[in-house]
Amino acid sequence: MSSLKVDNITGRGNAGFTGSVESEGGNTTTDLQQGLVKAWINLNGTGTIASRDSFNVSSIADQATGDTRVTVSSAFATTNYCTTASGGENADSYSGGMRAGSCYMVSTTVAGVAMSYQNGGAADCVINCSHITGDLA
Amino acid sequence: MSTVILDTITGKSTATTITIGSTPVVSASANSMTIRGEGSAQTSIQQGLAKAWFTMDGTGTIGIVDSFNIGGITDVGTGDYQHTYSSNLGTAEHPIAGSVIGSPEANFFSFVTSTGQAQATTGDGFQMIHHTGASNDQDPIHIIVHGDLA
Repeated sequence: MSSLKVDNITGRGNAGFTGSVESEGGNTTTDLQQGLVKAWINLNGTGTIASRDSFNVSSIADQATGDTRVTVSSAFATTNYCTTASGGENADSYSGGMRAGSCYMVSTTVAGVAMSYQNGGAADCVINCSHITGDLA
Repeated sequence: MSTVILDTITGKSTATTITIGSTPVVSASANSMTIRGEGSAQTSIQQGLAKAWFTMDGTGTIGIVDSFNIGGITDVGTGDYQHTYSSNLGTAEHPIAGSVIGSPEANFFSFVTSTGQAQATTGDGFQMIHHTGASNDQDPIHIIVHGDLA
């Protein structure tokens, strides 16, 4: 077992590691920080809404039918983050039709997710999953 | 080109922290590593990594186009699919999102939703439904999964 105790590791010919790692193909590099999802949540959007599991989420709020707001613990630098969402039911998903997620930005700490049926009506979903990428503050 | 071969790197001033180039990396506990994000905040590398993703052709004889940590896919019915993970998730309640961006279908909109199958650590099911409410096969289908690995 060999151990090395250091505070800094720096490339010899340049600044070294700047947050990029070599790609799978080996022909380019990809940005590690930019590629990380900064927040995610799986929540039950029916009744009294509740988080099942999450990362970087401090709270959730039930705004209205199908409309949930997610507050992150560590804020984003701007409101130009990207939220994607999908939803559905544990039971027959044909009941009431499909569910689709649309997302909106409220602030650097609050993202909105609105779930709806195909006819445009708001829908509370048993399974409501959101992922947020972007720049942290 | 110089290479150092060793088993463990520990911070000298603070055992849990090393700085690579100009980026601090912290491992305060086992299986946990954070990295400074775009600003000054730290973010978890493990929690931020997608644990599985795939692009598949859901028409005809279905097939995976490209994937990560996917053991296999099953055609359950029209627009109805299941997939398994090569390395299982730690909990059943992991977040999944999907889209059909890239589909040549021009006359209706299709979305990814659930099949009625409860989530599991070993795999999940999903369904493609278009705006008329009926299920339909799609190509391509993109799925991404986050959460905790077992």
